[in-house]
Amino acid sequence: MKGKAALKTGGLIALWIVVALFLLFPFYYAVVSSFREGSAIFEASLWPANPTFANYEAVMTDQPFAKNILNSLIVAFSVVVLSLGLATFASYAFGRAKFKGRRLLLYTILGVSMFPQVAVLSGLFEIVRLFGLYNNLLSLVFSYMIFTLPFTVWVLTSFVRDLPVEIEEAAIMDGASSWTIVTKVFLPLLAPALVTTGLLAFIAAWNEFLFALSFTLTNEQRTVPVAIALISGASQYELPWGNIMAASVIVTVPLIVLVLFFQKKLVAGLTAGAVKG
Amino acid sequence: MSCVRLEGIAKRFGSTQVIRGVDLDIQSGEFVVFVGASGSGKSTLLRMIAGLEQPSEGRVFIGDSDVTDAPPSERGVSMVFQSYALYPHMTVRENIAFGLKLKKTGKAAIEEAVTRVATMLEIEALLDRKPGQLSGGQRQRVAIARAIVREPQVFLFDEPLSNLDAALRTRTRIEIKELHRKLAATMIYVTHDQVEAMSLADRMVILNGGRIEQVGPPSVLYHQPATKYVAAFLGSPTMNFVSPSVVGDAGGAESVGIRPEDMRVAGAAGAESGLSGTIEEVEELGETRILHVKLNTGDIIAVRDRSLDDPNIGQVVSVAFDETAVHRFDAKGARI
Repeated sequence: MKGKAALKTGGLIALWIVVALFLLFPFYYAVVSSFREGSAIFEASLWPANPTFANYEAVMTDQPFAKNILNSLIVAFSVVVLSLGLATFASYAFGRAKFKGRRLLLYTILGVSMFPQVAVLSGLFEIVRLFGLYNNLLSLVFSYMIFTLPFTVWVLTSFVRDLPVEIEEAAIMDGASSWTIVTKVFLPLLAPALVTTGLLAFIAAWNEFLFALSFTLTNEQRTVPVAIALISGASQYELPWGNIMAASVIVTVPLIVLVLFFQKKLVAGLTAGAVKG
Repeated sequence: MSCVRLEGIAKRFGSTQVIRGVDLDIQSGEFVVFVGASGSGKSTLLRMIAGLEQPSEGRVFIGDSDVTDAPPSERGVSMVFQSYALYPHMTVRENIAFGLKLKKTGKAAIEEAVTRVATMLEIEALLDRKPGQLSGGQRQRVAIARAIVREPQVFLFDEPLSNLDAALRTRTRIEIKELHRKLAATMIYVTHDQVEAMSLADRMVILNGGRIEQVGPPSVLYHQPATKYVAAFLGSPTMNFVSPSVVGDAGGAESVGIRPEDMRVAGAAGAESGLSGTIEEVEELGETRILHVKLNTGDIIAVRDRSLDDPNIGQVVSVAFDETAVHRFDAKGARI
């Protein structure tokens, strides 16, 4: 009996090791490769023979990569703040207020996210040009909300629906205005959901490639994914793998830090509503 | 002095009529309980006094003013909810102070008010905890404290005890009664529990299908029910309704009722009154015993009587009742 249990635990551990290797090894190899220089990058070993920061230096000096990171941060944070702000008020309306066409509106919002990016690209391009936002970060903030808003609105709406109506009524009896109810009562209660959806919106905006490639022209306005894709070598026959790996590591680290930092709230947000507290 | 007055209140949700023309006068300092089966409209009526629902017709007066169109916070009412509805992210202190803060009350005044009600409800030790760390009974007290601190003209309670266990419910019931006496405030209380209603109420309002069946002190409603509905609603086990022939002189009544405690059984059959029956079931409750008897007229009745030494199922008994305890109702269910 004891042997059986040990075997079961051992099997589970082995399984998790395999899963972890499968998930983490590519990233590990990217990190290792980023510390290799020149032809060393094509050596198949698990540890760099002569670790060097040359690739990192090259990435930062050969192109305005710091500016690209800043661009990505500006765009991603703006998208998160705007999406959460709009979605909070929208979800209060969708979750609580009764008005004609509520369902239709909710499904329209969901419908927006069903079009593939390529399908809306040319139309969006015209709109971006019309507003004079071409090669401007605002065009990215605007276009990213197309895919962040539908899911933030939907997730938050289902959260608001799960909040007991009596809490809201108690606040009304206490003399709270709609604004106070949203900011003082709903926002704190929605915190786990806000963290979860905010983080997902951040990741989506941080990694987006197609719109960023299409709506920006100059290196100074590019975001990180585009910048990395366009890193070029000395000649057209050389792909600077070392630089690309270094750049990839630089942009992945913030995401990992964010997820680890919000880990607890993230899990709470993902599972909230499943079990009554 | 009249404190709350309802005039011709009606409420429709879409095509469903929930309240049908309710007029009610509640005196200052009175403890009034709305009681009725689920769907009788008692909660809706309370919510219209609170201002959480708008009546489709009629006016609501609180004090001297017409508050029909006033928002809840300007009516001078506060409410205790069934689920307590405390703000989960705030401490007990913040929960109690929230309403005062919104009214821009000074910090010192808030502190003083919170301390005063916390002392009154014996929750001083809990002030810095969050609702999640409290038991059901403690949450209940916080909810009541939050209602008291605003010093309203009228307290509204929406089934506040139904989430508590039986022992705690009985105790809290008495505490609410004491609170009413201490504050000398007008209280309106909704419950579906008739025992709770009778023990708390100065006056009870029995609602049925959105109409008031009867209003009055518990003892009047119990002993002189105006309608058959009220007679059947109050009392446990419910009143026995028997065919008029059981009572000697029915007086033109369509149905007659006798409460189980107004009936007696005797062991020997063939008794002088001629009314007899067979015991079908025995419920032993300790302080009393309830016998379910099938009469020779075909009616099945409950008798609350423990005078028989050892009642057996199938035993034939004679049944007697006090003639003055008979309630007579006409075809429409009104008392004769």
